[in-house]
Amino acid sequence: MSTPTSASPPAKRQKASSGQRTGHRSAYRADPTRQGLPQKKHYRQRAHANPFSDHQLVYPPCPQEMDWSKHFTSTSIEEEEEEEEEEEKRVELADIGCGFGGLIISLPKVLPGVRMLGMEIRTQVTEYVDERIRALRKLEGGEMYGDVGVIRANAMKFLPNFFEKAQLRRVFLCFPDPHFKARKHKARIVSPTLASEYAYVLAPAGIVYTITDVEDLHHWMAKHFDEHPLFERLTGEEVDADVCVAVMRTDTEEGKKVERNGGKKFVACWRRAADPEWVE
Amino acid sequence: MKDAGEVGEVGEGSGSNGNNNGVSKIISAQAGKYIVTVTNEDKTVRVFEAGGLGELSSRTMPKRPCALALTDCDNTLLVADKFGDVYSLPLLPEATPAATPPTTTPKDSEAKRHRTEIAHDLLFTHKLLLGHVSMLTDLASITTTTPEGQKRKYVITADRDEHIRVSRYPQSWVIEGFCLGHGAFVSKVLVPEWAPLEVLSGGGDTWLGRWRWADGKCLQKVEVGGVLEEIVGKRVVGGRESSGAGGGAAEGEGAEGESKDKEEVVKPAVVGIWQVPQRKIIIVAFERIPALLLFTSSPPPDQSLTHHTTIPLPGNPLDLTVDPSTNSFWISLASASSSGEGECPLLQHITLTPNGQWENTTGGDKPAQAAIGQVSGVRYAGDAKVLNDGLLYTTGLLRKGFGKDREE
Repeated sequence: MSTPTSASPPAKRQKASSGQRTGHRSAYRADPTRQGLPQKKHYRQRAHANPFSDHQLVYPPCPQEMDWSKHFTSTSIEEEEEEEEEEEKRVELADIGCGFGGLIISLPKVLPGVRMLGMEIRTQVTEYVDERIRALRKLEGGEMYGDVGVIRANAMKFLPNFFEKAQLRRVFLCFPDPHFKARKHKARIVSPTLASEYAYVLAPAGIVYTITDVEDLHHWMAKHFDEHPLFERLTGEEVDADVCVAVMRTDTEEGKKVERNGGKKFVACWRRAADPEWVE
Repeated sequence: MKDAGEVGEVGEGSGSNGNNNGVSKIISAQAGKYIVTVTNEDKTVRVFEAGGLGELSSRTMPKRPCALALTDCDNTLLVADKFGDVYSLPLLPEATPAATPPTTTPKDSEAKRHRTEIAHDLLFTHKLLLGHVSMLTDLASITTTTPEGQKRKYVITADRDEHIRVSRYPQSWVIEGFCLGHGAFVSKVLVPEWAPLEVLSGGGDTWLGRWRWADGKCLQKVEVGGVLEEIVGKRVVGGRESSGAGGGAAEGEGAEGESKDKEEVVKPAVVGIWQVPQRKIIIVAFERIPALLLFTSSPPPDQSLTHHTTIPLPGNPLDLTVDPSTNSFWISLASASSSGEGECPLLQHITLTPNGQWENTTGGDKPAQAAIGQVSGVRYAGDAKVLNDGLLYTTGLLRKGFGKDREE
């Protein structure tokens, strides 16, 4: 090819129309010199992920083989101080579908020292939360985020890979994808059969928290937890008295959005009952 | 009382465009009194009385069933499906359908109702017992007795995402635990009669699992990679992905181990685990590997499995059924040639001799000859690829990466 004459106009600057990849986000995310808290706009990702597909997930074959050390910073220091084999602090709280992480960032204020994990299926959203936690840890008073971690995971499939039986004391299901079509009911975060898995990872008296702005979804979740023999609904007073509920109402990203739009929020919580007597 | 042969008359075409409604599962119930089948295309569970093969019931499930088991002294049928759910059905449905007929719901509330209710409108008595968010592959039912003499029943379910789950029955919403550790799909589970507190598992790994299902402890990983390599003369590699380690979906091309510029490897996929209780022998078959692996169990309390012998076969094993009265078993086979056609006998009869050896008794056995004569005319009229990848060899397809999931 001949070289163009000097008169040829400079290459037109590609104007990014909506949805087109420009690379600025990945460049931002990869920049090692970036300082401070990450900006959410660089981690946008579409709202849905198919819970049935394989994705390319990383998960341990069983909870005992999970290496939590890269997700939490708090105990590694303690362990160095005390030479004896202290048992590693265990995750006690899971925010399933944590999104941009508003809840787990706020919860340490009311639950200091409780090790908590956000689980999110979307890669870039998870990456944002991870960056955010790491940045917060460096700020003044950031030690409390040493017990806050996030992981990319499909909790609907792999909860038992991460947690042992009765390990968790609190499970949050905040503003889940409603999956409106009846045909898609099994993709919902609450289903009669999946509720048994939440019961498995929850300790007796542990609590599952739900909040949504979609009334139908609220009824769906309520119906299936109400009907599940291992869950009993918290009363209105119990819900109001729970320190986590206020945080869940106001500090989740979706909660704030619903607030701005003047929408309604439906909250319901259940306590994990003890396993019943055997029947033959 | 358990499995009988698999894959019945394939392509017994009614209709012009062929019919792939093959029998994908067949078991017998109540000491051979009844036969239960599942057919693939119409998702239907049928119960026959074994004597005259009269059809007693025909029940169409909402999703394609993948495994059958029995509990409650063989009075209840457990059906696992590819959507991840397990239903219980009475083996023999009551005379009058107990289920509610299609509910005549007012149209205006329809849309809302559909969002909060799962309506399958099954016209027969059924109960959704449990579900995985994964494709189920196999299930087993166990009944044990406590020292106080109380019956304890469990259901063990295996899925494509490496899980083996232990649930109570009938309180199936209580998950007792998981047996975790497989690096690839689990395709088969078996509870040996002589070791009812253990479960054996096999799938896409180069080892078989032996677990204490009550607490999920892995008791033994029985390596089979070396034995398989001797048979196939190629490297045998297990694991989660269909392509090489870390390759991801992009490389997972076509059939297993056919990548041109790479060394040919064979990915194992267990198609069946069976037991010969009197001899404490476990028989294992792998997809497209023309042999059976026999394992012996050491005396209690150890009960560990050791590879004992390998039985070469004239074709690829599809399914097997053990005749406990004679310590012999029947195997259904498919030709190992890729065209699917060939000289391979479709049925073999093998007897375990008292000295621990095995003998191919297909030739001398009159019932065997008669049975082979009956099936010898079975031919698949359709495309060989459909036969192989769609009907006969579907276990290896459970490995991740075939579906080419896109990352998003």
